[in-house]
Amino acid sequence: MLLNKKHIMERLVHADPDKKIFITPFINPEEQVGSVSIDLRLGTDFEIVKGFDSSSKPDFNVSAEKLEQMAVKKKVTVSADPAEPFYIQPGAFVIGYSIEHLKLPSDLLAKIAGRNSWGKIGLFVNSTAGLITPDFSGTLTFGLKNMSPEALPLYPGVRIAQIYFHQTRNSGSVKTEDAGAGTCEVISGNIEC
Amino acid sequence: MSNIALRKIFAMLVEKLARLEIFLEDKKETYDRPNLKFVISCEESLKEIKQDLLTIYPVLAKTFEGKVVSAEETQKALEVYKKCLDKFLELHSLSSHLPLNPIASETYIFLSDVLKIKKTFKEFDSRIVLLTQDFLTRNTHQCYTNLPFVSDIEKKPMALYLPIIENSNPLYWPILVKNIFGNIDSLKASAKKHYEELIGQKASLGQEKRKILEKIALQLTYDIYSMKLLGPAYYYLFVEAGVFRSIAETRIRYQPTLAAREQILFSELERQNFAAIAESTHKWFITLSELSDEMHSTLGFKVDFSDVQPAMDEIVARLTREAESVIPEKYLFKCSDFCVSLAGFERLKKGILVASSTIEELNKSKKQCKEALCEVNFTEKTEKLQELPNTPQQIINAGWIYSEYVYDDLLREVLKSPQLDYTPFIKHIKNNDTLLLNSVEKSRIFEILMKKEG
Repeated sequence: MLLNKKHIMERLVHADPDKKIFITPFINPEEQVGSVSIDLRLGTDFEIVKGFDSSSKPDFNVSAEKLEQMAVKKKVTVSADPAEPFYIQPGAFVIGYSIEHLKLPSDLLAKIAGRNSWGKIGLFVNSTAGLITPDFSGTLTFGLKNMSPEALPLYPGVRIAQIYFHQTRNSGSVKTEDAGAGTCEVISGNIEC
Repeated sequence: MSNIALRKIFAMLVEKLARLEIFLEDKKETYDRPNLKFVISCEESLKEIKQDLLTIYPVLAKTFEGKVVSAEETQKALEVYKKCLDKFLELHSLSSHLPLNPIASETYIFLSDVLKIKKTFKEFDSRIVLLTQDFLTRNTHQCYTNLPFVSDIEKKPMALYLPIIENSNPLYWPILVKNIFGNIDSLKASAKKHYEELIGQKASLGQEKRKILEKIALQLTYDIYSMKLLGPAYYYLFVEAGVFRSIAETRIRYQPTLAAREQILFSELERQNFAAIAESTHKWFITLSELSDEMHSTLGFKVDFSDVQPAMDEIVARLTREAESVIPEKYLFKCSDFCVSLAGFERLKKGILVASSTIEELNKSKKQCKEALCEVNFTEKTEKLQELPNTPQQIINAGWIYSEYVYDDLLREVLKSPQLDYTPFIKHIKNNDTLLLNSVEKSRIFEILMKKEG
């Protein structure tokens, strides 16, 4: 079941910590909570994938985890000063992080999608993790790809993505600790994890 | 010595071992020769300290089982404790950078880490890092070793930079700390002036007692400033450092006893309606007091200063007024700040960022803080979700409260392993530091965005 605004609001203020969705810092709830989602804001840190470790020839037959280790990344931090954006160059792919820290209860999973307004100017936003599993706790990661012919300025604090919540039916007592682990299924829809 | 106090001091020691291990992990990654030599020496010392600590495990286990620990066992445990401490100080002589990590307490470390990883500021980052590290290193170094800290950092009047930094840099506040504490000579001078005015008239006082009192007056100046500006977490850090030093260096004859400092300061706080802080944190200071007293009486070092207590109270009152006039009103750490820290502590228990608090959380902790005494006045808002950014001071103090809360359980876990496996401490330090670091950073971004969006 996809949670609507009413259910999201209930979960955000739930008295039981095992049922509550924690999102913090929640800078402007009125603006950020939509009809079926919550807008997430862009943080100040970015990572640019520069290529792969030149000492070893990349073998694309290896696992994604291994490739991730081999990737040479450049970390960039921009000031929270509104006059100093981070420019994403045409065709570039960067990793960005949310300002918000999210903690999900054990009966909810979440998905992230880009906001329409960004898509219309050529910035594709996707969640690198795909599914955010129940009991997840941490900052969210976005993959940002600039498909427009111009460099796009990204200001920390802008609402960059939205998060949707699905209720799950627990089919076991195992808690999910990382992506794909655990036993849960979406009540409606076709996602299983 | 109470069982709780005994456990607490060993938990503190294990925490330092865990921090040393994390520090060595980082050092190993640099691979250069002098570093490796240093790492090898540290690892050898660590092994010896572990061996020593293992000998008191049965005593510590007894304290968890609620059994009575005999005087001989306590004595033995404290001897081992001192031996381990001596080894730490030996390590300190190997590298002047060592206090940056393993010896100092976590409040200090994560602050220097915040600055090292720069984050939300640009233009002034290197200067801020240097100046703040200089301030923190100097204070911690002196607290732990009683040796002057030699810095090669260029000194420039901070008044020159402060307005610019304040407008552009969300992490400017450590500079303010530096600015206030930087003028340490004038603090010393005013402490001396108040001391001389009040004690100088007492001709009957012996030379030794005079020296001790002068030292107490000076020490209290730092205590009051750190408490008034940064909250009890920092005060605790300096007190802890003082206890470590006084235990390690028994030759320091004129060091005020911790009990004296604590008694004086807390009575002053209570007088100023800071009762909630005094009440909440007293138990943690007591363990340090017990340790300090136990070691001092064991070593035959104790000074009774009750005859000059009224004069000391007057000095404290004057110094407090002075601190309040020097520190700008909006930076004074008040009782309401402590209430916010308590709300943050509740979040840390759930593993949540402490960058901000909801009005609901603040109202809850307000009740805990005894409203009437605290005079907390939060804006009433109906939106349960609306959050307000916390200040770095509030976050730091929340982290401190949380650490005090989990120490006992962590030590219990360590004792379950036959060897000295302090992984639970390492895990706690890493998690907690990361949460607090992120909280400090995000609270500053929150503040900027809040202003921007009106």
